[in-house]
Amino acid sequence: MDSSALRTKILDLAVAAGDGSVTAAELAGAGYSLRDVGYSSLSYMRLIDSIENEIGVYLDPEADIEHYETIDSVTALVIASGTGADA
Amino acid sequence: MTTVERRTLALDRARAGTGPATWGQRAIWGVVTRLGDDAPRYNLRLDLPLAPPRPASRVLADLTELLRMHDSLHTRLLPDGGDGLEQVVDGGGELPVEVRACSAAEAPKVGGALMEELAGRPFDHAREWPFRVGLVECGGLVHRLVLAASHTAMDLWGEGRMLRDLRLIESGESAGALLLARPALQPLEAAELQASPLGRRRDEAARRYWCERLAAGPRRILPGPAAPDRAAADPDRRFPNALLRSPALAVAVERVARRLGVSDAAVLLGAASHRLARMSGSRDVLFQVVVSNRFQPAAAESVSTMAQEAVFLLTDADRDFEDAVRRTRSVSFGAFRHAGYDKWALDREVARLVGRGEAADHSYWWNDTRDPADGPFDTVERPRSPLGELLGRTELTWPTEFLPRANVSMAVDVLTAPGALELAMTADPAVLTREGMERFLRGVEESVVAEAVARGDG
Repeated sequence: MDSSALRTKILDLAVAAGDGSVTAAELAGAGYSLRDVGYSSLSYMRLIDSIENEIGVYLDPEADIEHYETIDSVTALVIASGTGADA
Repeated sequence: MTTVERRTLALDRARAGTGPATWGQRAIWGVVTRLGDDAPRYNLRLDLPLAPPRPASRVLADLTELLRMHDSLHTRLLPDGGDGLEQVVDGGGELPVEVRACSAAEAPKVGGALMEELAGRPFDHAREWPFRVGLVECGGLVHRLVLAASHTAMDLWGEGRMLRDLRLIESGESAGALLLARPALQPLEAAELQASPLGRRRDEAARRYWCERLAAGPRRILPGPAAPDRAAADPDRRFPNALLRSPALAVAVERVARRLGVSDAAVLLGAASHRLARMSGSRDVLFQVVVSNRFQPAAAESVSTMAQEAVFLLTDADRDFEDAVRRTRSVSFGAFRHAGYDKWALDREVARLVGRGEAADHSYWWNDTRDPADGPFDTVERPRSPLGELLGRTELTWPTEFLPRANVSMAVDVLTAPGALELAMTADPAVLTREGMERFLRGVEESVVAEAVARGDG
């Protein structure tokens, strides 16, 4: 999976983990900032869970909060934590 | 006059199967089995008035549908004598139903007595389903439905889901339609996930996380130099139970959460950690935090026992309220992420740490029982008074005392009440006096309210 496909996958997982609280359009409107759309703690827990289940990467839940602020920073964290992203 | 009758609820062609018990089932089965005759204190109790009253045949048909929906209600647990525990989901069988007939005026009293009768004796998990049913009939209609369940069948979150599903079934929904709309993770499915390579990896990671925090945490939190002597000299000492009911806390916690960008649960746990650190002089504090383990949607719908304890270690908790709350958020993520594990295996590892004198004090418990779907201002109007004035409406009562509890210095439950938040606290009097308990509870409230006021939300 290249980094663009990985980002798309993480965006899909983030919307699903929001369980109806946020749409892809709302995230795009907020510059893909999870913080700005009021992403809940429960949603973060689900997202971390989903990333491990579906991408096979374990993210440190206690990593600095800025790693979890945007779709791009989460994507970067997944790559840094060891995914199959090609670039 | 009350008459006594026994009927049966027949289940057939329900889902069936066998497999290893889940982590949650193993954890709570181990606890209630060790307790023996004292096990009923873990039983869940429901005495539900039916309005309007309904025919018994209808009530039993609805309950049969409920059993069809949730496997845990017709599951037995069989130990193998070693480290194994098997869950057996019976596809058919009969559940005894205790029926009491009386006048409508007597129904509440008869219902209460029936509940104690059903919930007051231990379950034989190898031979019976972990669910008991009683009906209080008046003039041929059921006025009260009385349910008792073993904790092996469900935790408090599961009980909430069961009640919701029973109401939906009563309104005409079928088990099949409800499960189609909202799949609920069944215990056999959960056990399969836990036994997979991913599940085993998570179990190992969770136990490693636990042991690392226990090794790093404070050996004693509240100093209580006389505690071991008092505990030994007075093994029957009663543990007081304090209940703080605070409208101010309900309002302030929402405001602080919004301002700091964290959950209100993090605000409360952070405030408790900060207050405990300040009171005890221990900069680091450690709580065992009860976690629902219901993060994924199917798990959230599950009627079973999934809740387990996370180990929450907050360093430098005494430093600053805001800092403690902000770090509680990220530390909670880590702790909650590692709250699913094989408890029997963890207990062995913790015992080794304790034996070597390398384990932190892990006798402080935190259980935020609130359901995010039920807020304190759902049914009552949000107060408009300033927080300082609301503080004057706080009530502190001492409802009861408990028998001594092993490895409990302090246990706090967070509850939602109409128009208020409640903190229900139990503490070992050998560690903390009643005055100390009050100081802690009011301190948590004051910290949160002061933060809200300081941020201009007075």
